[in-house]
Amino acid sequence: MNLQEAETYAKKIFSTKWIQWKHKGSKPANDKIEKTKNVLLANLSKKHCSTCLNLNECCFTIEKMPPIPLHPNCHCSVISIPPITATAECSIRKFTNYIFVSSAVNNKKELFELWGYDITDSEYLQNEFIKQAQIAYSIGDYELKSLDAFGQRINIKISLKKKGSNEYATFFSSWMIYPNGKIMLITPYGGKIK
Amino acid sequence: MKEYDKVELIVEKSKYTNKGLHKGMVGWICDPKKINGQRLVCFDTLDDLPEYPIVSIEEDDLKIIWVSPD
Repeated sequence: MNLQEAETYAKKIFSTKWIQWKHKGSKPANDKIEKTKNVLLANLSKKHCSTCLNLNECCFTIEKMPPIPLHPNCHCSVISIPPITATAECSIRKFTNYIFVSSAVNNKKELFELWGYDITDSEYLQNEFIKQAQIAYSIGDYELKSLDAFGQRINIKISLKKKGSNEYATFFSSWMIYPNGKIMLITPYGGKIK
Repeated sequence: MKEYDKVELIVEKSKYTNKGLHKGMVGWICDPKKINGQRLVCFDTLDDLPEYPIVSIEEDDLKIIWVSPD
């Protein structure tokens, strides 16, 4: 990030208005086990909606948040919060077990190899995705996608420099929103940006 | 059935066709969770679409066509 980009980033951080989703009387689901527990709780109690439970304490910009109320008798609310400290998590297996598996399984290996990357770059790609996603999410540079009991998905643009060239490959990656500014990678490649 | 497995949609149901998904379409399980008997599937062979659909699908409506190594 050069000085000008850093200045633009700082301005965006402080001008972006954030809200936090609240579902009274329930704990936020910080991982997959807690999300699954919320669904069980919703199924057993019949009083709560698993989608609402799994949105508890998730952070959104005012312009890009799920509609509220989400459904009749929804008792969710939102509160204004200061700029978030975004954290992005990305398993290296998204590259070793998906992107770089045999071309017979999917065509992503071919695509990334075309840009000069192979399985030995998995750790670099993991760090690059985390870095770009954290910056993008913290300034609200994301696209709101589907919402269900799994949680709220967002798309974030990733730009990768093609090795041995000054060109960049730009495409969508998909992430799941977790409470308190955390996002987790779902798919490293969600489609090309036309 | 687990994350990273490649799967095929083996039924034609309105809840999937409404989202542009049809029997025979192929994707991969992109989330470790199984919720209400459903898996989150990214249909990453639909290269003509601007972006790949990521949809929760009932496990019974899927067939594994490639098992990801552990």
